[in-house]
Amino acid sequence: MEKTIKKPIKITDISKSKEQLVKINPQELVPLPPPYDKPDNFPKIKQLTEEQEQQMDSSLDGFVLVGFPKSVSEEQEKKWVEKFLSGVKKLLNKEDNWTFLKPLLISLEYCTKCQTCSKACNIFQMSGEKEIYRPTYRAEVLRRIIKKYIKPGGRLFGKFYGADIDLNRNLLARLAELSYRCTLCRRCAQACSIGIDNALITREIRKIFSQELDITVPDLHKLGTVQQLETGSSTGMPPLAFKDNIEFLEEDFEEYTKMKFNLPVNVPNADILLIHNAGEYLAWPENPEAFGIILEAAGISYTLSSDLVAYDSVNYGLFYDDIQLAKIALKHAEIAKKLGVKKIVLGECGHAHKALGVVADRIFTSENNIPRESCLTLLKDIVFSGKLALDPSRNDFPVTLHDPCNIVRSMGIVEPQRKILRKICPKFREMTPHGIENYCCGGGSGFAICKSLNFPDWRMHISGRMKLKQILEAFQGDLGPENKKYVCAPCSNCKGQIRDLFKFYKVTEKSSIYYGGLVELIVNAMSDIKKPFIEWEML
Amino acid sequence: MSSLSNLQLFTLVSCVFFIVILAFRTIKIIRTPLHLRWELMPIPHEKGRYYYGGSRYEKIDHWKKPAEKSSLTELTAMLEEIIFIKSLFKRNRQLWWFSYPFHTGLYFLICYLFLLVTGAIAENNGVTIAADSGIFGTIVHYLTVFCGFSGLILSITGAAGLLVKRMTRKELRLYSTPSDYFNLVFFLIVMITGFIATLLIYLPFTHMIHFMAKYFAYHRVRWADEPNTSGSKVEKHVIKQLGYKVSWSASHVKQGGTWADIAKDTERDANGKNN
Repeated sequence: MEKTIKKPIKITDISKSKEQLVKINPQELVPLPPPYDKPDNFPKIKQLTEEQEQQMDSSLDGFVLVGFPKSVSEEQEKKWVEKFLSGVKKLLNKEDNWTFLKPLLISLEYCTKCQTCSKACNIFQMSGEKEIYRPTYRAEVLRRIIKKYIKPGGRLFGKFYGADIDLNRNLLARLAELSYRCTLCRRCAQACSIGIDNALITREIRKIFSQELDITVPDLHKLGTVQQLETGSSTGMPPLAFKDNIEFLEEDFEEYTKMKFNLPVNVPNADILLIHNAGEYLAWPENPEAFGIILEAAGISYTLSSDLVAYDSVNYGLFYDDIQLAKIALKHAEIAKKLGVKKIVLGECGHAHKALGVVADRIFTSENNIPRESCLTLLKDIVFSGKLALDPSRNDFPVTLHDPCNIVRSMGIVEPQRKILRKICPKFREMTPHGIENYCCGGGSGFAICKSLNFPDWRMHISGRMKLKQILEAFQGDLGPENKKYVCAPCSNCKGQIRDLFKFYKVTEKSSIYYGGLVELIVNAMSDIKKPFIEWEML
Repeated sequence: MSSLSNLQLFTLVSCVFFIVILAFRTIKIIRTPLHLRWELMPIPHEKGRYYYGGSRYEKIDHWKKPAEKSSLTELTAMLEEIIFIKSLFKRNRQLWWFSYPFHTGLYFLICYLFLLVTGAIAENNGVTIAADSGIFGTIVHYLTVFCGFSGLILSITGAAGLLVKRMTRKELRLYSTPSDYFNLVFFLIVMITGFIATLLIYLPFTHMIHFMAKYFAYHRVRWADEPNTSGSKVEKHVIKQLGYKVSWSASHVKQGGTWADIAKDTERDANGKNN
């Protein structure tokens, strides 16, 4: 086991000795409510193998996601340092970083380090206030690098202005990992009285590594955006397999309900191009199926697409790379234009909402700027239009709602999903806090699909801890296995994280808490469908 | 008019210096290109939705409908921040107890300076400013005294409190550089000695002019939800910026291309040119 640096951790420690900066001990984390309050009852944190330890740097906190090489030659170290600095310069250059230069400059130059943001960060709080996870820690590292190596007089004024950090291999290895210890939920930014956005700075650090040093998280880059552009989906599902999946869904539903069911694909000039997170087809096929049932029953003109990229709404570029973000967003728009639809509607996927719905807005020009809309507004319209016969008593079990950060805090879509739940779920209750002040599920910024090495244990113990606590508290007094309860999470990544949390802590087994999307609840309430749509044992 | 004394000249130069450096840093932000949208809820101009953090995206076909904006709620939100620093009150009360008098003290001092100038102009035009002069002169006199004393007491109390906090709270101390302490100590010395002109020279180089940054952080980033529509100013900026050359050197970036080029270069990914 690695030795750890004695507290308190300082900013400059990031470039010092190879000793592990922080060791995570589950006993020191904020406890969960009973019966989940005994860390010994849950799986231990997975230790890296000796071989992995030798190959990859884990000196930040013992976890590895990026996998920065452990041993490098002096020559390689020098090259990386130079590249990193050239990346920082590009980050501050309007041609290379027009995309985020304004918010970055404001956040770099005007933070008063009052630490109000730390109180808002679930990762920092639930970790037992581990210094390296403080939202300002990684931002301050970048700030000090800029002061020392980029700004004129940095080396001259030295410590007075905080230009006291050494940019070396240790720093790069730890900073690369540290940039992936934040879910980019932006709760810290929301808390800042000045408007400093430490989540943005985190993303900008990721950009330097990705856009300049070719250092990325394989799950997000090689198996994420690159695979999506190459094979059509970040799941690796090619167009033919997508079509097979659609056929399977149609057959499955017809067999289950004895009703005719059709999922339209590549229909030209339909009103809507509906794009789901492709993970839904593989992990939660009932979700796209439920969408199909609702849209068909409401008589909505829509289509799915089997074109490369267009059957997968994910855009992991949002998490680490502006170039990949732009490539995927343009592909989505291009195919919508080709089909001649009037708008794109995004399925239950939070980051896809933000990427295509908001952020990419300023990548498009007249030729490809097609209207984009959330499925939640469309669903609310349908539910309240009277086109569906709904029987709320079919959802007579406790339901709580998770707010995906990208849909709620970043886009302001707060009420449509609640209006639906209030109408169709008589036992709906809110989490605390909720709405735009919600807590991230812990799988944000792509973490939910990052399953390499021992990183999932970090997600389970640290980043997902607050969400699990919130869910348990929402059902307080009813945490036994007797009554079935449902967490509605209208986002694929959030569902992935909640699935993993429930499995890790045996939540379904102990407390009968299940999770799923919003459309499943709507279809479950549809009286035209004789059998209940929600099959608890399948969730 | 009598010639300026050295002190008067220094004060004048300090004021000009303050304005020039502040303008320089403001222009630096203004001149940054239009960034990708990065708003953050709540947005106070969202009419009828601000109170729960909702936005126009809650409406079906939102692009077909005019934005329902309320200047009143935006103004109210701004005033709550400017006058009360509401967000700090809500989220970091411990610090607010010192930050609030510090900032309020500064407001009083700004008023004090304006009142001094007003008084000087009045005196030059034959209006006496004194406790026992006419209504105008008496009001200006007492307001000047009130603002001066209040400003001094509040800002000194606040700055001293902030300094103590910074020195004693671990989470503040660990992140503070010598310049952070110097800013507050220097401020205190200046307030106590009354040599405010010196402060005007130093202040614009520090993060203590964050009132300016705050304006941009809120109005141009957090609340900047202007959509990109055909033929709009936003679109003109986007077209221009898509033409910027990119020099990022990673393997998935087409070398020598513009943003428009690299964003369409998906063949690069399809051909497996990435690592």
